[in-house]
Amino acid sequence: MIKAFVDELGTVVLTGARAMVSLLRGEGDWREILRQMEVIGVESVPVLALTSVFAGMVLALNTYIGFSRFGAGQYTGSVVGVALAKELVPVLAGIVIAGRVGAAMAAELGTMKVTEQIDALYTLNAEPISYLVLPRLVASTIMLPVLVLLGIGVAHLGAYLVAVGLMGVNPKLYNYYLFLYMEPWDIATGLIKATSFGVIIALVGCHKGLQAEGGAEGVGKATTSAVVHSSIIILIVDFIWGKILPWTLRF
Amino acid sequence: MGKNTSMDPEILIEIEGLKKSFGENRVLDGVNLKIREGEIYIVLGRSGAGKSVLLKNMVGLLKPDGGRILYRGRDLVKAGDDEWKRVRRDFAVVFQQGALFDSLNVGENVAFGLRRMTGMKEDEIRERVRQALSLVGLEGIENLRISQLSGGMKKRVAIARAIALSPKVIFYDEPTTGLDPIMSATISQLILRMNRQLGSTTFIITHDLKLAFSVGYTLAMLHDGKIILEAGVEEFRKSSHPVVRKFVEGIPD
Repeated sequence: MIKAFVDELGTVVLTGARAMVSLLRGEGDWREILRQMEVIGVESVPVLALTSVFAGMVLALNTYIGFSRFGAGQYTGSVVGVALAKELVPVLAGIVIAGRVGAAMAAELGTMKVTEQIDALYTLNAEPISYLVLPRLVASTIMLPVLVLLGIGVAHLGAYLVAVGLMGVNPKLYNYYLFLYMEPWDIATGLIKATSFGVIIALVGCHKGLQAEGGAEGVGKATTSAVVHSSIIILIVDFIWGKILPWTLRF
Repeated sequence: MGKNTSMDPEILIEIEGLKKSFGENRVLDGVNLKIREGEIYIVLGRSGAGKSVLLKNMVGLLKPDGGRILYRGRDLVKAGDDEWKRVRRDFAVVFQQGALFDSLNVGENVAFGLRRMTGMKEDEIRERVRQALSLVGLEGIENLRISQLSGGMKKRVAIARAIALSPKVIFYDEPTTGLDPIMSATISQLILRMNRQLGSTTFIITHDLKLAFSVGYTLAMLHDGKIILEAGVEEFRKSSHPVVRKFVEGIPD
């Protein structure tokens, strides 16, 4: 099982490397990249906004409940700000978009694979890596941090509404502690993570699609495992970033 | 014109000892065949005999384990990516289900290879697409979605996409499978007409004897990973080889 995982990781990385070579050779089609940015980015805004606003709300709610047990309810903003920017929004966005976009990539490319459209691309001198993977990878890598930045904003709105509007935290104190403890670096951390999640979602989704075999069932399996694998990898990578980012880039 | 082979036209593709296995399963076990320029060469065989694997090796979608595929004297088994890119400019493949790109409309499908492999201008491409579609009897459907087409129309659009590039060789994978008898006959006639009008050498894999007998110049029987008979239509039909007899007469196992 570990060998299979390492093999799989190897081919995913190889796919990414080949896409990078293809990009450096100038094989990217900008119109297709823009189209994918619309599909991946713009069309994900509603689901992302909804996820983020509730993440912010529930975090503010529970932080207030926990903190007020030892009389620190007014400090809610201090934790909420950091946690949303660094962890909750990037990871939730990554997983939700893996479900929306990564699944769609695996299903689309998988269907192309089992209906021989991928073979047809080869015979028409259109490398699937440059024609299919590259635009998705570039678009996803660019759009994920943009979505996460937007999500952080929306999440903060939700958190503020719950903390101040529902739980009665003093608005001035909420904002004071929020900005006292949250630093620009926290948002940068979230965006760096988001960028890497964008790479993971596109590469795993495309890779699973291109590996699909055996008709409708194969496409279904590819789609499922694209979502499951990219979600797990996102959680692992999130932890790794959590360990290395503080002491690599900060100083 | 047609099936006169006494002029001995030159060999365009020659395959020698082609081998391909998947794990323990040896699918091609030393295939030998010779395809002359301009002819229609048909490989017959039962389902699972390895016909598709043979075709995929010939167009570079699979890499053979051994043997040689000579195209104009160059060995494609040893060809690198750049050489394959040049060779693919000469080859066109009509896939079994058409393999049309369903994210594009009919016109964009037919234009796909022209856009990627030629320096043609947009209006030239549009004219070429129109011609290709009219050759297969489908005029003015450039803007239809692939999902709006019937099975027979898909097959014909796939043929239009193949001929748009004026290929030297057209490969057909089971061109009549899944079509009604009338559409099968239409496709057979179309294959014959494309071969004669465009002079493209034609390679077909099929188990459809009706198609093979009506358009083939040379018929080859693939069995147990080898070509067990390569012959003209009459000789093939009358062959006394037991496997071929069984296949021609449709005798159950």
